[in-house]
Amino acid sequence: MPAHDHRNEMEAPGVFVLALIFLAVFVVIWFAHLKWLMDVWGVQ
Amino acid sequence: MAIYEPERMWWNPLSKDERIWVGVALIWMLVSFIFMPIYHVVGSQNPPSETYKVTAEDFDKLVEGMVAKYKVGEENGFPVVHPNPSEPIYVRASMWQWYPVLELEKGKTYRLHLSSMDIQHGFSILPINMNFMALPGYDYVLKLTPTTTGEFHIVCNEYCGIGHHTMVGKMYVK
Amino acid sequence: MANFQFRTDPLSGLKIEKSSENLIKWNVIAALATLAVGGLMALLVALTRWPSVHLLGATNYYRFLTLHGIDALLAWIIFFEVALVHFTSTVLLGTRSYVPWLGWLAFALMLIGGGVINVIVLLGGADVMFTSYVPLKADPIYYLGVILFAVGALLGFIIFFINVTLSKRDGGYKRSLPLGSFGMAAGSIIAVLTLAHGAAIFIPTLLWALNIIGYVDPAAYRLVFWGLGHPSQQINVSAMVAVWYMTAAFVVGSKPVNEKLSRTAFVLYILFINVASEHHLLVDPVLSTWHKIVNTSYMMHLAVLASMIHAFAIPASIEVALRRQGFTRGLFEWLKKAPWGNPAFSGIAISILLFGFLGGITGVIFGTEQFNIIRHNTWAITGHFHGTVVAGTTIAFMGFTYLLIPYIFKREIIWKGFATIQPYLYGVGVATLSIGMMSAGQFGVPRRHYDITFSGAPFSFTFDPAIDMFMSMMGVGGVLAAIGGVLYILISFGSIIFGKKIGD
Repeated sequence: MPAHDHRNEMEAPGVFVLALIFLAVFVVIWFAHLKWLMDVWGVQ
Repeated sequence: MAIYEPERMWWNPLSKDERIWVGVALIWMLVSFIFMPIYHVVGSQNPPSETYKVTAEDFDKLVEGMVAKYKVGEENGFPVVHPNPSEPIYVRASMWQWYPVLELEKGKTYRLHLSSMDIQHGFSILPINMNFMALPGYDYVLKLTPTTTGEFHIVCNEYCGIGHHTMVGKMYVK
Repeated sequence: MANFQFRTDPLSGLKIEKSSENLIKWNVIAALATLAVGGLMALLVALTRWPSVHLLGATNYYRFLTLHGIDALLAWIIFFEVALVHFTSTVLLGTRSYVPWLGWLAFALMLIGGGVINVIVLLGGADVMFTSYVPLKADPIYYLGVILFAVGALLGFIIFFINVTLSKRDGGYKRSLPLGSFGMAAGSIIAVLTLAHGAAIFIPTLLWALNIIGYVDPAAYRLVFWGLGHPSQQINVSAMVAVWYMTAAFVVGSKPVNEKLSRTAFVLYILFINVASEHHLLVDPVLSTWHKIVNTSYMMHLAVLASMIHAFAIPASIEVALRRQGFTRGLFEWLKKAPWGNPAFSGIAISILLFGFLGGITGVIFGTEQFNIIRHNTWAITGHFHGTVVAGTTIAFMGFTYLLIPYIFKREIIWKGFATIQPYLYGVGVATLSIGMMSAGQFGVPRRHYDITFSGAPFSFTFDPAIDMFMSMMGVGGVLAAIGGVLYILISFGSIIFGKKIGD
């Protein structure tokens, strides 16, 4: 039996939305750390 | 199923949502990666890597030399040192003290040499919260530019025995 | 053909052979016992770091913290993983254990090694923390215990390869391993590399402690030790992800959405995770900038990509399975109708959520070269790995125990009501603890520190008063997690001993 072609389907739309929320949180926390880093003394 | 052997043909194309997710995840990882080398060029806070091998005795001599030359006072039995910004400065870690107390000038860039006399210690400047390792046998050079004035403390944040929590030093920026 | 005793489990349909069943049982029992000790240590340590309680004295605090790391991070997890090795290389394939004697030898070595470490630490011979950074010296017996445990674990993982190789001959599988076994294959490959690092560093350190060699370089120690210390967490990640896939399959009958994607992600773990272990060394002397960037970060990001794939693929497979069962309304009907009362399911759901949001995000950020300056050795690091190893791996393994007890021990779970709330209680506790640690770490509160009021120090430093709230969060979370942990131990041992027998 040939596999059903899912190429143009959204198989898990719910999880897709949750995953994008995760990514958004990730990006926000990442930039918060960038700000905290820029607040400390210079070091090279 | 994850508990059964897959069908004969399992090398199948991804569905739309999977493709998009792998794509955005990969892009985000690349951004996070490329940030690191770029920040070395444009940023002013980067982990130093300049290192020399040094024995405890030699390092101790350098520390005492700086103290003898630039001592301006004493606090709780520790010499307070106001070094010339153009000369190297030294911080010595040992069980369980940071020696000496440094007085630095805001906006000047110092070459701070950091080493340990005995075991591993963690050099943590508080409350600014910057953290580096002090290892015995190695001289770690931090090109440090204080940008805020006030009273700062150096706390050990690598476990170094029973007196670990009493290992607190001091630093002033004027 | 010799006479091997097989039975078919009535609940799961798995074909289980007697000697393999016994190996799984005893490894799980040892795991539970070490978690009980490690968890008790955790509670005592948390109650000491909670400033308003400050329970222990300094000596006992550091001693129990060392033991907490050994028992909760090493022994509990590796015993459970060896049980998973046996499960995925025999039971899941429907074939027997081909080398039970080797299984028992591995088990004995791990048990003896673990016992030796526990005794020597409690006797005060090794107050050196889990990392035992040289030249901080422990009693030679401590390093010997670690080596014995590691050799046992190495044999335990090698059994995986022997079993799956011979299983094919007996028709256990035709072409490819089931995904659960494939994940443990990734874990076992990483384990062999990891434990080789362990030998490379603990054997010289043992010789140094015996005064046979004069010097172990502290920077080299850190480099090789973390070749053991961090990749061993990646064994945990692989095993945890394998448990996610298997639990989803057992509980909701889900099928991997795309085997190609999931298997490729496991291969990414094998390729990149071992060299990604140097983010412990980002603010160390010695290593060059490019070394730090490439090893820790470039490689780490590819391994993290794999985790982001799994964290999508597994919930997606659950969504697809539940949609097929008819929960198709809107985006989230399937989520509402998922079997939240089943502790095996809620266990992996909580594990996926917390591993991603708490452990995963902070792991990538703290492991970024520059950000490490403001996080290294602060309590935020402790918060991070309680998000991965405890909220991720430990909760996933707890959930899987609720499947192993009926399938392998042939017992019903006792106290069903308590079992239903256990993963939630534990999850909320660990999440609170972890967030408390991360937030206090933001203010520079150090990890592994007896007294952040610095009594007896030549200079006194006072933290921002905001940390009081976060320290208390950690304490309350720790107590909640301890209650959840005690429930888990009681339910598991109670079910194994007193649970109603299934079948027979």
